[in-house]
Amino acid sequence: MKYILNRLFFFVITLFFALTLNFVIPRLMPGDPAERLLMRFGPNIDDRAIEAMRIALGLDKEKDLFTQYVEYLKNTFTGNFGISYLHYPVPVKQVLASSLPWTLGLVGTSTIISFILGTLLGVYAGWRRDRKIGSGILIFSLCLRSIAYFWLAMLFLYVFGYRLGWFPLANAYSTKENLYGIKFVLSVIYHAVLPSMTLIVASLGNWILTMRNNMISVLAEDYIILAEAKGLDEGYIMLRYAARNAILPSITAFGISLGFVVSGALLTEIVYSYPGVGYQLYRAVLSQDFPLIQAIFFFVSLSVLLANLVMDFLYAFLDPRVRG
Amino acid sequence: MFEVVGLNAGYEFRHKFVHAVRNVSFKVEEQDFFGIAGESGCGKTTLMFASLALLKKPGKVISGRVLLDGTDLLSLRASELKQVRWKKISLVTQSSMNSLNPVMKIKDQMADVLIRNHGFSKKDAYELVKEKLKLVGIAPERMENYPHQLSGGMRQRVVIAMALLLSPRVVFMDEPATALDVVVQRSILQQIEDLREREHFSIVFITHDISLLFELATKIAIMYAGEFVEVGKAKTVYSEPMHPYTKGLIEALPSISRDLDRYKSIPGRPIDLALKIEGCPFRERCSFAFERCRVEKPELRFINGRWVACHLY
Repeated sequence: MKYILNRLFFFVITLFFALTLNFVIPRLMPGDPAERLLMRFGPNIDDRAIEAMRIALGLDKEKDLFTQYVEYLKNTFTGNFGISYLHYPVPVKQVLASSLPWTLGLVGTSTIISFILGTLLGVYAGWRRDRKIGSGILIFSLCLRSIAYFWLAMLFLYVFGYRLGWFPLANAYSTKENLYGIKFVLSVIYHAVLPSMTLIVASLGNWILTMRNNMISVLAEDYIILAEAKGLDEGYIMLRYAARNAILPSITAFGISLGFVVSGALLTEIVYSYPGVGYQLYRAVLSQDFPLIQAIFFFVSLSVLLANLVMDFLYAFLDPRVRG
Repeated sequence: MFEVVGLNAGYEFRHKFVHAVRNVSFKVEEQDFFGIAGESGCGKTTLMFASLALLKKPGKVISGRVLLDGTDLLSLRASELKQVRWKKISLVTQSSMNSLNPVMKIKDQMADVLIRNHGFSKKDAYELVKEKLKLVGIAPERMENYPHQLSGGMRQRVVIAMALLLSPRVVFMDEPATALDVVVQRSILQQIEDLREREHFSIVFITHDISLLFELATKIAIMYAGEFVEVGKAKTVYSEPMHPYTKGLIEALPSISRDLDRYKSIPGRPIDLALKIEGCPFRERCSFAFERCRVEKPELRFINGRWVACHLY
């Protein structure tokens, strides 16, 4: 209980710091967003238009920094992230609402599948490290890790999408017809196959290697030798004694990956023209769309912190030593 | 009762073979306390793993038999071995820190072998766990704890209790007290000795601490370069060591009554076990060595009530 409160306290503190940094950094950057926004409409801008735009963006100079800060905090918690410059006059909230679910679905699912698959393979590769199957998995994972994944994305798109025509070339769902219900879901899954394959292949090698290494160091422990001397079944020793201990460091890494799911998978989203956050962030940076960048950063830090919080709790459940 | 016959074992690599256990034979009687002493790298741990049929790749047993009540453990099938393990022969490992699975409760890691391999119900298994914990002086409530909640000495007691769960005939102990401070070490060893007398099991005790063995063991084997060089009653080996290596070891022992400058160490270093050894393996470190030691390997012979491998006798 004390542990949970402790973790929650740190969560709140770090979130507060992240929010503050997110407020300060854009304001340290040179240039006037209102001017920049209106520049797009031509070179001759009325000063009053700029002033009006500043007020609309919440940047009017009448307000001191502290008031701005308080307003920023209030807006953040009420979900009011302002208006996107890039998609003017669409609010940032709406831009995110149309891209966040796609990213969460695609990158989140891929991360989870990759973690589970990689960890299982890693457990087995570690357990059978002196057999052919163990070396086989090791070589396989080293190969996977050496592949440049954007290249793989293009290759998949070319072979399975363009040449063989098994999978669609772009988008998150069929845009040719209006689909509802189960048909829509199937269409989404169908469109997600290639990008998620790319993402899984890109990270699988790391999960295997991490887990294999953890396994090998745990296997040298005396309690493994004792378990063998007891005559316990191999499968039971592998899972209950070895993997159960070896997975703890992987859980931490998994938490971090889950946190970064929100930031999207930039290259994959670009190659597959997938309407995710990564692609949105990329465009926002190119066009200096500060409200959008700020909102995405907010969600990234929030999710990283949340994922860490969840992992801390999970860790306490998995490792009695942490419970204290 | 428990007997190792002509055991040869080692580690196989692509181009070489490290012959860590060379033609070792020994016999452990009922309620024996058999000590095996040797310096690091002399093959004593390999001998233990091979004797327990636990030696894994790249380790390999080349020849020899390990007889427990007449059955050769090395020729048993996996399913038969599973029934013998822990019921007849068990193990106490070296380090009290890593001997217990950190994520399992004491009761669960003690009871799993009972429930999974020996047909105990959960209730009976926990009853037995309680009983054995009491035997080593640990409060039965402690079985609900995780290993990190116990002190080093308590953990080692738990490991001993675990080894005694099924009242085995032989318990191998690999430096069971080395990781503990001397006071705790003392009490654990005393307890092991008391338990052996009360519970009627034999101990094969492996250590580099020869002074411990002279105190506790009934029989002692001195191991050098993978072989036994002297085997005999602990008391007589201590009072009249025959092999020059044993003599050297005893002279190197610290004693309260002796002056500090009278300690002698054995010059040189142990021989590489990957090499083929000609003559006596100890000859280069031996002050008594003569021509015969270079050409002829001394065999273990029975002289004056003990076994010794030296050309001096």
